[in-house]
Amino acid sequence: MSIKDTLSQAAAIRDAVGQTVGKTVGTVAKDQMNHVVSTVLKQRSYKVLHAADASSRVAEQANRDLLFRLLEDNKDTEYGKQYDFASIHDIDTYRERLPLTTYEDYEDAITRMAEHDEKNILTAYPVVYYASTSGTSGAPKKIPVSDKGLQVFREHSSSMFVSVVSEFYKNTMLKGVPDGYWLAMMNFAQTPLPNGTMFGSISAACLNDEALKAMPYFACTPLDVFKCTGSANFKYLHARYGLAQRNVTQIVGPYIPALLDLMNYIKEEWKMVVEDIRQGTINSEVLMPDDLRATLEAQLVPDPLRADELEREFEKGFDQTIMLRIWPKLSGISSIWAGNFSSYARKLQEYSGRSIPYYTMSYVSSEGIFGVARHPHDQCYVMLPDSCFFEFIPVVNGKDDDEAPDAKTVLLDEVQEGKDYELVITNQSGFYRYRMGDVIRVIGFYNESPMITFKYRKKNIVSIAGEKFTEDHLLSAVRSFERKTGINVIDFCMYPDRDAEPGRYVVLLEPEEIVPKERYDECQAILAQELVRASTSYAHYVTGGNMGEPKLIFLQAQTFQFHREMKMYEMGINENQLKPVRVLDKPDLIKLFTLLEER
Amino acid sequence: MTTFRKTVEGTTLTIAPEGSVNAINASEFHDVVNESLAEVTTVVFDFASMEFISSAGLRVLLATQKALGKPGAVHVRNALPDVMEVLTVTKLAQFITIE
Repeated sequence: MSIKDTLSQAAAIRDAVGQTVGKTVGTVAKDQMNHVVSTVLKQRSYKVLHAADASSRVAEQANRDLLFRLLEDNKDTEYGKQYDFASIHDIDTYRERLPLTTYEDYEDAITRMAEHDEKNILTAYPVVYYASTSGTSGAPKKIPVSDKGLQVFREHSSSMFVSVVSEFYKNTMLKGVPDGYWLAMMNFAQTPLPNGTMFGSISAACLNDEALKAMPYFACTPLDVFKCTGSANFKYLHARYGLAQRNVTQIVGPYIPALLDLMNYIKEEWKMVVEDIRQGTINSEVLMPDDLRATLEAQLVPDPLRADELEREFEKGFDQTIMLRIWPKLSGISSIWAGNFSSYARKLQEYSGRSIPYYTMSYVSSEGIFGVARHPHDQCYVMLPDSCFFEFIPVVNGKDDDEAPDAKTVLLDEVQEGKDYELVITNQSGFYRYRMGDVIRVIGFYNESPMITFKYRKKNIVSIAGEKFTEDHLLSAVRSFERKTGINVIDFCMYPDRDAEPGRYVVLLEPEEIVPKERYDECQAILAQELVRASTSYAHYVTGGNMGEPKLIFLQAQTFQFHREMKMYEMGINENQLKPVRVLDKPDLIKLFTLLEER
Repeated sequence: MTTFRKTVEGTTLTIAPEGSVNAINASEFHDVVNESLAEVTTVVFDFASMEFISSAGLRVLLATQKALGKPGAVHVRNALPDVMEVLTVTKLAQFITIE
């Protein structure tokens, strides 16, 4: 059944129930429609899950087939002719003839495509979207997304969690996930490029028109809010509509810091939000475009019963049961939370408790979706052999072979458990042998497909004396620091201090609570030990005297939150486009963070 | 102890903190600003007697700027050198009017 059919059926139900007067009848009709839409979403989601499982059983063949389909389909493109795709009949020839690439190799072509609407340059498939990169610095890049590429994104990123979480409940509690609503921290705002194609975050492109029509029946927040391109306090709006809905079953957002920010906001502002729910109003002090305010206010009705319930629960306090007390049907939190984001997940569990499954969704970037988490609580991803053709450059600490422009790659069926690799992709949108710059570790196999964890970005490798220190090493050192000191760290970053003699690392931690000055020396010593423990190459240089002892800086409370908010305001992006800052690579950023030291 | 002097003249709200704005009193600072925000179009922060502002306080300045919408609607007056440095380095000074 298509979503269109679903909506027709839902409309029939609505008519049958009657929507003549009153909120109760309206709510009943909406809930009926929610049931129908939820059922179809589950069916579709299971279909995607089963297809992903099936291709994992023949991963090598599926990946090979994908490459040869891409070569055949794109042989008459400018790029295809340049490298004579038509004469490539084996993978070795493909690897020998095509160079490894980076974004800069495609920049001119992308400008011709996006600004002058030239076609058949990189891909024969219609380019239907340009995704902005979610990097933390510089102007956003434009990544072309073809119709075929977008289809893969849509199937695996926006609904797969429904079946994964449902399967988890069936297997562990012998029951499915109840029908209900999603508190979705999304923003679908996009802007047109000179050729008329839309440009925005990849998550904004993931819902097609059909899905957008169905959204009112499964999302708490109205569609007008998701589509708003103006300045608005989206946190208030998601809180306002999310809290008004008792039957929230899923909380969904691309990255988990946004979900934590929402709960922190609710903790700070619940009285205002609850009063608005009681009165059926939108707070007059909250920023939003006038037309959006007028549209929303026209649809709101007072809900004093829900407001009373919320007030009672909030007055009991914000402990680990608060999310289940205000949303009793809450069944899952779906957001990228593994690896670098795990500290945010731990903080969010202070509101959710540990019984709610956290699903880390997918390993995704603007260039492609590479893997999905197969089970809730997994911190690894099963690679998707139908999404991109994958190659892997072996990474060996301390050796620079992997830096060569003609570095040798291995294939999906050649990777080894426990080894680290830089990911190289050929995607369905015109990037060929593209170095992602991400280093992943193979931790096992799901059928034939590698299961991987994200380790670090190569551009975030810190080196002063020849060592290689990654964000993964830093994460490991900070986690051990927390265990040994009992100090919870909200967020952290570092930079190489090359002005010191000898050079040293400066590590900046934002503690959950102010650390007494008398503990500074102890903390400094423990951090130094843990950095040495985390990286043998760093240990070699620091114990040999080539590097100095690290410096620890405790940051003021809310420093990272301020930095994120400032970045969003400055760049006009939303929280879903922000990645954590781990290595301070610019003098102004170093100055900013060091100025915000707790003194 | 930090106090927040507040005056509203026409459509201009002026807030003058005395002491430091830190994580402990930032929510009070936020409330003092917010309770009059609907009535005004301009907010002036007079920092003549404010020795220090932390990240939590900076979030209040940014939230005020975002709430008022138009660039330059937030003014900062009489900022001491240390505070001015923070506003500059964090780039807040690019979006607010420094007097």
